[in-house]
Amino acid sequence: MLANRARPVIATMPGFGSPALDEQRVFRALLSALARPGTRHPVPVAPAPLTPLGGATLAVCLTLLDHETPLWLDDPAPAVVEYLRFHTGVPVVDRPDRALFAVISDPGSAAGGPDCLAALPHGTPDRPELGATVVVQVGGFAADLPVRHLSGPGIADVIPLSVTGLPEGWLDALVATRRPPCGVDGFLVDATEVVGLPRTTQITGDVGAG
Amino acid sequence: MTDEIQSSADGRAAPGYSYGYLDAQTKRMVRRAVLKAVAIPGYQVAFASREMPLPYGWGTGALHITASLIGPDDVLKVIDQGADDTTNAVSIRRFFARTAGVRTTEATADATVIQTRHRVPERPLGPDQVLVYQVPIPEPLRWIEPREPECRRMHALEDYGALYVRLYEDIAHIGRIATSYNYPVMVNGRYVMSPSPIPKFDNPKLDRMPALQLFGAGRERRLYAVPPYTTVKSLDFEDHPFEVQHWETPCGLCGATDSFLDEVIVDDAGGRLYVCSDTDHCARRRAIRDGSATRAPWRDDTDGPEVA
Repeated sequence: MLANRARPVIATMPGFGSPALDEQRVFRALLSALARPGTRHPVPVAPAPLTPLGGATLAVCLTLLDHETPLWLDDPAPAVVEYLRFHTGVPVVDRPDRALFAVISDPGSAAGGPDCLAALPHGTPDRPELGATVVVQVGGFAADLPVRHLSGPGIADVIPLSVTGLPEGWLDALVATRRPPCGVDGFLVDATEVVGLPRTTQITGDVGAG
Repeated sequence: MTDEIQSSADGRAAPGYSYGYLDAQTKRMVRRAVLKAVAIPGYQVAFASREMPLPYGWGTGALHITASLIGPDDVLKVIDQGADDTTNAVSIRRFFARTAGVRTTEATADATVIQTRHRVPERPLGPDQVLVYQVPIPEPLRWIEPREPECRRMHALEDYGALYVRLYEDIAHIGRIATSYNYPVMVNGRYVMSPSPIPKFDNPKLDRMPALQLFGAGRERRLYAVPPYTTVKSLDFEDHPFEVQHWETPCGLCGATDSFLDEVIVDDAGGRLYVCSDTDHCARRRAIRDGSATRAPWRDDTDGPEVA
């Protein structure tokens, strides 16, 4: 029966060309992003996109995920699941509360909307690091849009953040996961750049119309 | 196997090693722990410490972090008690030159990653630098509460009263706080953290430092972090504010009055000399004083890329 199961032949899609060095470079971008919340960091190397995930998102996955990191996907497309399993060995789980990582391909969808954040693990007061990490695909970080203001560790004073493709209430839901020191840490990823939003970053200010 | 091929293909790192010595899965595990440490400033994240080719106590925790960070574009500086030329510092620089093909330097300004044992460089660090501390005992509550689960609970509840009592006992006995190194700090107003056994002279440098600070304890299997521009406050009392060491004499070599000085015995008759513990800082000041250069060229990149 197992032998008859149809499996997509997508696993031959290449991952990183040079895993050790590529993972190191992507990790440094992620580390800088999380250490300096709100600033944009180019993802230095990325595989080809695989619908619904972009290349930069896949690069983050290949860098951080392995068999120790249960992953929840808002859209578990068979091609993506197969690809990530092949390259990282990551267990893909079907409930967000069992995941350490969540990758949201479309925060505007029902599955990837604000509600899923409440379901992710937030950690406990004596093990706050068990709070999940959420990687969310956004449209971009254009500067002419409604702006939020960020402050906290990693930020010298206050810096602006404007994001497209993130529905109203999504960032508020991320903030709502926080009961310091517990909470969910976020990476916002567009086609080429990543912005870190650790649980310590205060998000305030005017969201304008959006 | 893939890693081995890459590290030899890279050309500068010696063949036969995984890039940066650690295997890919270990680096990924350490990297995830580092990210959580950055997200929870001052909190000690457990990680699975691997056996390293040097003993516990020689910087294995920081070595894990450095190995997980470092890439071919980095320039590494390693100091031991401020000195670039001690056995431990030289060995660790050579280790990463060999396993990661990185350039090394003794110049604080030129380094992208600085691994340190028990000092913070005198020269202020910039936002593009990462400081990695070697930590023997990461738990600031260890000598007050030996039980690990209890320490964890005290951190969870922000129950740091016992630590203040310990500092107060010093004041009651001898009129001042006697702790002069490994002086506990409060990070981001939440977690009390051991800054590693740096002299308390260095504590003010941790506060709102533009560089990312990472701390690794290999034997205790903990790592923690202070993100840039994060408040780090040394514990004290309103009527006994925190203060740092002062010296009567300037550095005997460069004349600095604002750096941390080591006492060196220079003869059999009790003669002594106070010199900067930060060797790069001292050499640079002397070079400028002597007018030979704005920097000391003989100290730069002395190790160079090394191929075994």
